[in-house]
Amino acid sequence: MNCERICEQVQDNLSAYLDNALTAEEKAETEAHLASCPACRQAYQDLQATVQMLSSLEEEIPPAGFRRELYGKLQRERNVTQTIPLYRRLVERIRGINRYQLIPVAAVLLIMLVSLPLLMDSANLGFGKKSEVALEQKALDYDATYKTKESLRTAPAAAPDSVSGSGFASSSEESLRKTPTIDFNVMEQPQAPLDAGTAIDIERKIIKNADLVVAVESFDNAVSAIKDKVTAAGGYISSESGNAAGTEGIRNGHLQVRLPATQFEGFLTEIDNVGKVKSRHVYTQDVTEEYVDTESRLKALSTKEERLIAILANSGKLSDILAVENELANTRSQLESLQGRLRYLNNRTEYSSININVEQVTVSVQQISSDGLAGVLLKAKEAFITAVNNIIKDVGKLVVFISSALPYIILVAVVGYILWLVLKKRKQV
Amino acid sequence: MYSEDELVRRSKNGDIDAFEELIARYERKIFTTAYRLTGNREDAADLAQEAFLRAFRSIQSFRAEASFLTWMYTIVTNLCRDELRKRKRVHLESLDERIALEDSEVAKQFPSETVGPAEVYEQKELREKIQRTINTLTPEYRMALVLRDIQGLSYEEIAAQLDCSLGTVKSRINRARNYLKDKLSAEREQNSRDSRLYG
Repeated sequence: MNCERICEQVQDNLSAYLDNALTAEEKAETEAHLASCPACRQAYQDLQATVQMLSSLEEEIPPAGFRRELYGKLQRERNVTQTIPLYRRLVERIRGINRYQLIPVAAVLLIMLVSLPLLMDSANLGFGKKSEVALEQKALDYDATYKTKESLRTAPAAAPDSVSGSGFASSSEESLRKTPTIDFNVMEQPQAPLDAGTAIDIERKIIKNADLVVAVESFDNAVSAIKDKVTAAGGYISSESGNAAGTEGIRNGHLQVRLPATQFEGFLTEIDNVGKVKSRHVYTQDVTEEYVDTESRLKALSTKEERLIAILANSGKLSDILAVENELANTRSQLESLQGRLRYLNNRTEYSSININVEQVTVSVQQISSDGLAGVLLKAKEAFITAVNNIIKDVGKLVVFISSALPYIILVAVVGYILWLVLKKRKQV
Repeated sequence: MYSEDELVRRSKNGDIDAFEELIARYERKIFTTAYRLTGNREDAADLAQEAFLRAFRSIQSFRAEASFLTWMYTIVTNLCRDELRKRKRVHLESLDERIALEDSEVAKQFPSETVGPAEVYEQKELREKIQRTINTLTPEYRMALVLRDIQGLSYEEIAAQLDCSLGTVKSRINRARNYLKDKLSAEREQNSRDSRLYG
């Protein structure tokens, strides 16, 4: 057993022993063993014979015409390097590239070809009408998917008709966040002046509105949370209503909120913490034109008023005075209505309106206790669907991440490939 | 007769005649190496020519640290290694099959020749048989064996050339030689048995 192992070890070293490539110690060991072990000695002699046979192999003679051919190639090589311009040599070189070497290049080109339009698309977002159309299309798609999912989700608990079919309904948080942002991009784009004369230093007057449908578990908590947020943002509740419907006592409510326009976006994001935003419709109205118009009419009317007052002071005849007085009253009422309109516009633009429909969706405690097993199944189903939704969402995020990393990956791949080629070349010669 | 250094120096200056002289001197060695490594005369001729062309193209980068022949060996070995890798990817199996077939054919033919020119023929046969056996080695073992027993490089040089450790070189050489030994002696026995039967 032990002896066999020694033989094995010695035989592993026999070639190196033959080539005198062993350490002095190993060499001594091997020699000692060879002297005592006939089997290993035989193996050694066979090996020696084989090596001798190999090294005594005659040189092979190149085929006829080998040298002539090679000289011809050499001559051509020299001619090429001496007389043919650089670009020709480059072309030759490219032609000489192995087909397999082109595969990575082709792959990179393909990826670029595919990803370029996508990248262009995302770069175009927020540049006016075209992307808006695309966005609307997307929103519609989301709407469709949302509806199917939502009806699945809420079917057992609440009537599906509580789902509002607004145009910007969506099922993924990602798109929810995007929707208002992109809208703002659109309206913040500087537009062509309405009127060359008055265009200088005109502040844009924009009314921002949003309609939200929020699904919550606890109605009271949600309403008070919204109120807290409104107060914190410096806004106020302009109307509030609520009712309980059905035998299960599911509560619905409507809140109309006025918020400083600057708080608008932040508030929309914060609403996500209150409950699940089932539908969101953000729309704006540009009233700059009307505002400017009203302002200039106001100016003209006040000039008219001043002149009427002046006329009134100078006139003597009673009929004249009455006529002017009449006209003055007319002017003043117009003036006031215009001022009112301006105030209204100012208020509307400074404060944005948000309509929030709060809906209670979870089954009440009583219902669960009255229908124990079904409630558990329901919750499990809901949890399952939520998990699936989360997975879908995460996959979406992953896709987005990969797309965003793709340009870098391509860059790294190209650089790596070039590096690899260079290293390979250096090693070869 | 010019010295090798002189020929290399003149080649560096673009003297094609000097380089042709170098080719004439070493073509057999380079071709033999390519043949032992690829086991195929056509490929060997192509690769040997390519090796000389590459050497001519980059003769400027040749510094006389080693001999011209050693440098040429490096070039041709690298070319063959790439070729073997390429082949391994494409059709290794069919290659093995073909060899197995040839082996059996040879075994049948062999006993019919017994006298006169047969000696010469046998010599040639033996050479070819050795080569065929080398061909059945996988590229890694074949490279190690050829570098050691045909080119006569040291273990350290082989390790550097093949980019692997000294221990790997040792074991590859040993296993390749033992494989060759077993294969060839098995065939010899087969032949002697055949000649006893037919002779």
